[in-house]
Amino acid sequence: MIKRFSALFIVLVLIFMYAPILILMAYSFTSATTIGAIRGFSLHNYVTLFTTPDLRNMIFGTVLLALVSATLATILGTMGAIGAFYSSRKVDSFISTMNQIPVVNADVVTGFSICILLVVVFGVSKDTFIPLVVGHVTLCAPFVYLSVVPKLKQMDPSIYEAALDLGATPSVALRKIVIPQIASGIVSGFALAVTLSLDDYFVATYTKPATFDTISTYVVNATKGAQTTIKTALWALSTVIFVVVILVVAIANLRADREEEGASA
Amino acid sequence: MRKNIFVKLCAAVLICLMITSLIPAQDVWAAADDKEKIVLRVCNWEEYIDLGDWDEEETIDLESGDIIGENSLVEDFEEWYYETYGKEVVVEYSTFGTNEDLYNMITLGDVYDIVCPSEYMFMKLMAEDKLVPLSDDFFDEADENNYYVNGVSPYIRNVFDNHQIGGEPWSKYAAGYMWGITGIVYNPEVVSKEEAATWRILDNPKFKRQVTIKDNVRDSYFAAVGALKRDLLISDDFKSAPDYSVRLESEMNDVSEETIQKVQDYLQDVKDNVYSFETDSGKSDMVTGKVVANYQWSGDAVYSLDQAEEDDFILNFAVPEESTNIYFDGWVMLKCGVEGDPDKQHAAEAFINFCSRPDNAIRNMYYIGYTSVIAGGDDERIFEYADWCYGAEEDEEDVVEYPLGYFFSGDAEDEDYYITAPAEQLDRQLGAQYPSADAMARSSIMVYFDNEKNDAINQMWINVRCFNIYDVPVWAWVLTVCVLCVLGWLFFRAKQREKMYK
Amino acid sequence: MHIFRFSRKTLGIPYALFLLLFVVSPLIVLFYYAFTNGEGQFTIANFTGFFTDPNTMGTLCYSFAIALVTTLVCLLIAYPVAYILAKSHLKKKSVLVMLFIMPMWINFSLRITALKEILTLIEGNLAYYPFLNAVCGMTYDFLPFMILPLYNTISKLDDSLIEAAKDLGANDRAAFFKITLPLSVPGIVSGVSMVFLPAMTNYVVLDMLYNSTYIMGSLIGSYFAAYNWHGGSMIALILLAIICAFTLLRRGMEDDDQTIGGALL
Repeated sequence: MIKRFSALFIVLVLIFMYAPILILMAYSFTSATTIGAIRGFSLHNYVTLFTTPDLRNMIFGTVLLALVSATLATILGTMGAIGAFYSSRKVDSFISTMNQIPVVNADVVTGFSICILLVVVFGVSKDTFIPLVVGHVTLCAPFVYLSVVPKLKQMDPSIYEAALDLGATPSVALRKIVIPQIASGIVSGFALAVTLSLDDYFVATYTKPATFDTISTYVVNATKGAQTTIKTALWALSTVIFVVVILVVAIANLRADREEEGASA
Repeated sequence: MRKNIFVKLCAAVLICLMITSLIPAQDVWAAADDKEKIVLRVCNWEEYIDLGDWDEEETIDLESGDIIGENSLVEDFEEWYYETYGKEVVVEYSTFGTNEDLYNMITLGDVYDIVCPSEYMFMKLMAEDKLVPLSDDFFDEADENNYYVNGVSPYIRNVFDNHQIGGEPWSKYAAGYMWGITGIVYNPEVVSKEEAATWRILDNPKFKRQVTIKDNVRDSYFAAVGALKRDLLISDDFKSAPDYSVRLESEMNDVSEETIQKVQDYLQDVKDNVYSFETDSGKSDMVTGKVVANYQWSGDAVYSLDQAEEDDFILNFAVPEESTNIYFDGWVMLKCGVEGDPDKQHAAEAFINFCSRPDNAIRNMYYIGYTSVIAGGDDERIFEYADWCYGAEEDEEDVVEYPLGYFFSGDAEDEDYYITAPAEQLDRQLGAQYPSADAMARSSIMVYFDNEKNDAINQMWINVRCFNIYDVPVWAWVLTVCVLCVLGWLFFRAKQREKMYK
Repeated sequence: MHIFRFSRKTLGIPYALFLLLFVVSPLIVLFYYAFTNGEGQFTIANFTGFFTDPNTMGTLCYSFAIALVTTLVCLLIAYPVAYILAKSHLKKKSVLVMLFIMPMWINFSLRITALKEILTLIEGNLAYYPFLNAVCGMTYDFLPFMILPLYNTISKLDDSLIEAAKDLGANDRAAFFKITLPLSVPGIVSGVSMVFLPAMTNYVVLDMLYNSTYIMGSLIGSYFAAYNWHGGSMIALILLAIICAFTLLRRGMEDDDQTIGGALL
């Protein structure tokens, strides 16, 4: 009884979370320009999605931005986590506290303050993309830090020392012992960073160059406006992303299954 | 060894930085490829230019030839410029959402060569000395490539010559692009024409949560003033005064403290009555029937009416009887972009001219619904297009003769410029695109306010949109106090217990 | 020995510098702007202005109300979800967890446009329920941020504690309220801090769902749009103050938590 009830609850919450996405998917296959209007089946959104250069640039730009800032954030965050973890308690707590600020801070404030600092005070042109990338790294790096630290805590410190005793230099030991042990944390931090950057609107809106749009700034402007062809093409994009993500998860899952079977056999 | 890893990390960071710098490099490279290319940075309103890609069946089949938008107007311009002047120009086209956004972008250091704000914003830019005047060549009527000066409507030319700021006429710096009036798009099945033809519809409780208003301070302010001064504005005394239009303009741009306060109170009521404050979403909400009336610029009104018609859903357009805002969006060249660069200025002026070429003006009008400032001059195609859009079929009975002379020849009674249109068109696209003489008579522009006044109405706007603490209902206060008490008590109890354990 | 310690610590330096440069110094700049006027003179007018203007204070209350309700609703939905997921013996648990994170890969602005249509379908006229819409939109947007930390905390709980409690005579309810719930407080706290502030500031959700009342984030946006850096900085500072209060509260709770955990072990 309780099991059924809990299963039902999970399903309901999943419906709540997925209904809008499913609606987007359904509408991406119609020629309707606003959700709610009822029109016939059409694939023109998919055609637009793959043939409009503006759209390609925008998607490419958004993804590139996410990858670049996530990479930078991962490098910085991981280094920071390792450095802080092995530093004195004072330094550690200092870095952790600072690290906490962007995590709990509102994105609006992060974006606004970086814009004020770089653009208004230092006069850095937004066209250089520096404010945008800095903003996104600031947004993402703390999360990488947070996902690496627990792994460092779980690590057995004696392995590292053993490696040193066996003649490894510190940097080799770091590479061969520490990094592999915290790799899962780094990877999940990176994934989180990419997700945050893709989903971000506020930091981008305060720091992006005027001629560049990420998907979210574009959509928000498009809902205010009615740049319909591209807006509806983005529904198609959601569908594509969704299908790809589902596929990746499913494949990863199947492979894990197979490995498990192999191991048990 | 330690150094080694540092070197590697630094290298990685550097590589990432380089990748980052590649993003803008796409454009920069294109420009650096060969130096002769002129890069023209254009910033226009969203959805304010023909992006091309029309269907075959959308062809406008005028008697003097078909017009169709295959490529975007911007691409066509690049091609045309190369063919005409033998130089390559690359247009970097971007858009803005509101006049204030544009101003903000410019202030924060974005560099554009040519932008298209509304009259009060280019007046502000003129007053702040941020603009480059149009060159004398631009006004040379002998050059047949000067489509603007040869084709602009006499009415618009008059407006741009006669309005001044700081002793300089608009026309010295600005060339018109689109113009129009504001009014109410409404669903005639639910709203009567009398109810719609007043700014008072915004706070009409009959249409609670079914009307939208513009989400920017200037448009909302104008509407609110119109509603508040309704009695004065529609009185016969006022209307028949010899200096009616001057007085109208000063009444509609009244920013005395008292008026601002009244407007604030009024808009706060409006906020609780309207469906939303919107910039563009009102168009689709109107078409899908979510709202029954919305405050709209004439061009967007035409667009909504057209869209709705596709679904056999009839909407109408009404011009408020108090007063309507007449606006002119014009191209201006910014100092930060074109100053000291004659090639660029030439390209920018050519861009204005290209947009003013009658077939291009028609393409824009068809695509975005707004009314071009171009009447065509000797080229009759613009008038033909108006007739093509709104002229009655031969078998129609309920028709009216609608004079467009005021726009096309400067003579309101000019017999060459009468359209025989279905009578219903007066309340529909025709009345929105080329307002009637009545509507024109009670139109007023928005003037530019100085910084102090601007700050005052900006603050007023923030106050309107904020939640006034006095509006917090009593139960909410009581609830808050109760919750705080309970929390405090729980906390206290927890601490007590802790002490016990220790 | 001395050298390798030095090397690991130094890894933290770039990140510390980064944080100082792009997290701490923007805040200093915010401070400067918040307490100066257009002529660069020191003033507390922005500060007193905020707290004496019924409109801004009302906005603060309104944002608080939205954030509070959103956080509560998120918690009420997310806790059972996290609990059920963590306690279930399903083989594919990780897939289910992924399902709750995946919506974040599709841009929130797209999902909210679709949510808007669903709400319209249910409510008829959206504009009648601005507060409800805001809460729905925010809950929808932030739910994954609440589920994740809760799931992580609950799934790390030691089951033997509950078994021990049951052995000592506690029933299911008592075991939950005396052990599971108190032990998941860190998860709740981090979930709440991930949701509360964004819910006070994410004005795009409100805009898209036709709630025309400003919240704190929209105030920053509108000051920014009116080129008033000083007013915007003051709002940002006030949000920061709220964060600080949160962090202090959190510290207090974590200490409590440690003692509780210590007592049990």
